[in-house]
Amino acid sequence: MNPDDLLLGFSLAIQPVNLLFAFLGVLLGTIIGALPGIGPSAGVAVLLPVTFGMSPVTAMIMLAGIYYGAMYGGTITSVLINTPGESSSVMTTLDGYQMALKGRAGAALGMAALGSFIAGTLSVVLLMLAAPPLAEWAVTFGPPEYFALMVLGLTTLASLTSGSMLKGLVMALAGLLLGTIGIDVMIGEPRYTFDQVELYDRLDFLPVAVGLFAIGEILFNIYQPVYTDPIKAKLSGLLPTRQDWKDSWGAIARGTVIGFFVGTLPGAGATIASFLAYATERRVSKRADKFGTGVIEGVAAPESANNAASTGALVPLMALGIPGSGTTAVMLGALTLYGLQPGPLLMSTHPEVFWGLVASMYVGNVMLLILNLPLAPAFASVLRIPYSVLIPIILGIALFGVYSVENSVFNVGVAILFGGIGFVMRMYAYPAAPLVLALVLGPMLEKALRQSMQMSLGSVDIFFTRPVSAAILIFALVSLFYPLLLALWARRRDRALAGAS
Amino acid sequence: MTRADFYGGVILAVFFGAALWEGLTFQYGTEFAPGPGFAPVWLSTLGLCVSLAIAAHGLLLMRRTERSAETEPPALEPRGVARVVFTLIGLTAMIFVVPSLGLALAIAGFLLYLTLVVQRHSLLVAICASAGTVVFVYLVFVRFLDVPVPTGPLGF
Repeated sequence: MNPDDLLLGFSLAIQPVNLLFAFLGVLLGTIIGALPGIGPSAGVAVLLPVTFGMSPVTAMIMLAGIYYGAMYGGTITSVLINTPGESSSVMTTLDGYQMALKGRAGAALGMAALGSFIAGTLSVVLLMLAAPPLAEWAVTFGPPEYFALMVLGLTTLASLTSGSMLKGLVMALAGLLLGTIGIDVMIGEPRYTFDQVELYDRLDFLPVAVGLFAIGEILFNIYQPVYTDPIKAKLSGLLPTRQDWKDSWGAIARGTVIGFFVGTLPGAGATIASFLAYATERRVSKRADKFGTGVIEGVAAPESANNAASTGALVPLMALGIPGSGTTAVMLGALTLYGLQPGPLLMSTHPEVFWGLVASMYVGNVMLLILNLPLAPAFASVLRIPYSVLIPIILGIALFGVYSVENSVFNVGVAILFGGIGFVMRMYAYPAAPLVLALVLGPMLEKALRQSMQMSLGSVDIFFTRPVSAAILIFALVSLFYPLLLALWARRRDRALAGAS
Repeated sequence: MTRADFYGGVILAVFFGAALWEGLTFQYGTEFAPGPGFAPVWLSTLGLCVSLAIAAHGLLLMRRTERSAETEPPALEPRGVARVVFTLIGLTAMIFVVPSLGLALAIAGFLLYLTLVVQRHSLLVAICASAGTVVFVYLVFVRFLDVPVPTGPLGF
């Protein structure tokens, strides 16, 4: 790592305009995270058009701020009303809410903020150390390796998303198929355009993402309105005691390491990281039987992990140009909308984007700590606004934003269509993230496949004779079938146990 | 979700089947590389297989549920579905009135309909939420970001 790069990053991050948008990003992220019913993917997708007038550095600083800010915000509802603001805060409810019932809501929120700050800052150091060498190595990759990497991203996301693996897989395939819409770049033949001129230049990812993540979620909330319970917990004593620190430092350290490495895996993300961190903490703790009754390490571990994971997820995005989750897929799409070419060359051709983002994350984490410690009661008061009043505001921003991408009413129609589809998917547990990720990766995946086959004069051997692509494809196959094998093994074990008893 | 899985799988199979039908009309390959039809054909074939697997899984679970006399999960809540359908009708109507009313007015009209008719807020809340939202987004996108939007009879 060249220290000049980091200095360049800090010189950008401390510019007033970047400080302002980092602050806005983390503030909006905290609010989005605190509101049940709207997650970071929807938040980033809806607010992406607002960043069009900005430089790519400022825009990425704001979008990343929303992403990691949402991780902080999710804690507030988990602790105060036993409702996770987003999925990565589910584990925090177990001990956080119990602490609130015992009159220790302030300590839970304080430790969550401090743990998130420590994990967020340490994981930025890890991002800074891991991404540049990975990008340097990936520059040597050819189309077969890229193809394999993208297949890995899709298979892990499809198999690791909650619920049925088949549903994750079918959504990824639907996304890839939607990615083929438009004029074929190599031959010029129109595919699935049905004589609609708007479809010749592909299906824009943003209307689809806004439709599935934001409008679909809003329709679900119209179907089943969210009523947040009144906050009964008293917020005082936000600074943890010496005993709290003694109980939590190990959990924060383990949560950071687990979160960062799980975050770097395509598809795993902050939710799985927080589950793993909580489970690990329970296993190593001397008071494992007390977990779920309000122990502070039960809050510190998942909160540290989800923050570290959101930073870890930026490693494959920035170093390889391959997103691992719905939110980072939207961020990748944002990079292309700003005219940048995501991939390993991004760090050498546009070092200001990566290093400006890294430096801003140090600053952003400090801002979040300052915002979350004294202002936690203010964020909690956001929960007093009925969600039904927020629905028109979110919809208005989403519709105007989708229009502004290409100044196209057709795109608004696409967003509404995918909003309806997203609602049905939400109702019947079909995950949206694999579809959006596949839509973003689809054209790149097809290009890499066709270039590889051109290199090998039409033979698929090229994917298995090159060691890196072969290893990645084997890993992708394992990631796809591992959950299936695990389920079969569990069923066989259950049957054996039932037979024995 | 046994019945829903079965029907969901069937609907997806129809979608992938139609995509395969259309995909077969594209040029499958060139001399040394896959052509424009290669990805659509393979993706829709794989999608068709996975959809049928979902439907078959749903059917198996349905049979098992019938045998064990278990009850299906609760059906859809009719009032909730009506709210969603009315919202989607409003959104679709909004698209058609954009050319004559302009984007800002069309969105304002839809938000007023949403808050007043679908969400049953009071007139004051509905007017404040819809007008406030549109004024805010108009200032951000049109004034601040210079996005040209279709204008209506009132000039915005």
